[in-house]
Amino acid sequence: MAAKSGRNGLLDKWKIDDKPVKIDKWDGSAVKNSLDDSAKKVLLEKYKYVENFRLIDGRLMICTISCLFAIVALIWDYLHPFPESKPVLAFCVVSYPLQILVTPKGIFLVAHRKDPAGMDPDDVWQLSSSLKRFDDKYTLKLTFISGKTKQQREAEFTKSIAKFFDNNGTLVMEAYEPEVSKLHDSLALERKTK
Amino acid sequence: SLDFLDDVRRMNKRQLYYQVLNFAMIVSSALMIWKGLIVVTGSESPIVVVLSGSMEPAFHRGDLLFLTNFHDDPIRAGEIVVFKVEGRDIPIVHRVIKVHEKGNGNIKFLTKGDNNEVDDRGLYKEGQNWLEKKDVVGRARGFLPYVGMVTIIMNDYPKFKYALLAVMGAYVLLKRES
Repeated sequence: MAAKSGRNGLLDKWKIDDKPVKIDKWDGSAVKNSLDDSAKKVLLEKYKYVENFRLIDGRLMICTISCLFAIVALIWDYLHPFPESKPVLAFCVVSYPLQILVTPKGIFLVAHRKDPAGMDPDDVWQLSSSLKRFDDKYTLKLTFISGKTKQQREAEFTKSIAKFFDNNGTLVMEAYEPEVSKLHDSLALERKTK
Repeated sequence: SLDFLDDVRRMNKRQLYYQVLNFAMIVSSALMIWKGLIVVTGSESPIVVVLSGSMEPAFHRGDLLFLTNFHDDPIRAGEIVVFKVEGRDIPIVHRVIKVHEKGNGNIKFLTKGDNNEVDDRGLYKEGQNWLEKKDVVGRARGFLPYVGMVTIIMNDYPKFKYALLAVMGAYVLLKRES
């Protein structure tokens, strides 16, 4: 990030993108989040893929709509007190969990590799991961979907989180980044040889 | 320094929006569960707390009651009902001691707390001597002892309630969710 104007100076102090990631090593969800984030960073910064927000935005949209249903139910019930509001309430209450169930989960990154010649459709890379509660085994799965052939290939690794974090809870990128790159290169290599 | 804010500082626009959305989803879920209970039980207040000792030894102050209010439930003398006096917010849990019933199902009934000396006419509206079906909030179908004391404490000490809600709200907003 090059020098910015004075107005953005405060924003720069707030953002800490370059500070090494330090989390509570016993907090499972923080560990998973930081491993996911760093895997994203490798794909986006090292390999220069472009993130496609469609899946994430879709999820945000469904959740927002669910909240709107809840608000509608609240207002309707306020204006037409129970029991007249029964049908509207019943509808909103039933549709709420349905919407949550429908939301696609698991995949946290969809990235595109634009064809340099600009002719073929983009290749798509997807990242998903899992870390069971109170477990130390983190699984990262990388899926490659060829833009040209629509073929899908996957690779994954499962490693103990102890391999990537030091005793203070700081993520050691020197240990993690090669694992992610290895995963990526194994899929990219297959592509070239086919 | 403020390490717990680090998670928030590292968030992009979408992730920040998701934190707020997560908070809204939790509130919405609680709301939907409550409204769902209202629809399923037919009662406008499916869970109530016993506020006084007027029904001892059956119920004690702080007991939590689970109500249903099905239209066809008959009201008979000797049964416990939860009702609201017209114009007052607070539900009262007492026993039915007298019932007048017309052929068409219209009912007038009188209530009294087991532990009270007199019937509830002193609690009813000015000039009202009987309760009707429309005053009924529901019948107790199940109960949990002591659990309602939390609600009583939070109402007696509102600052405690707001502090608790503020801490819970801050936790949800600032803790990064997947």
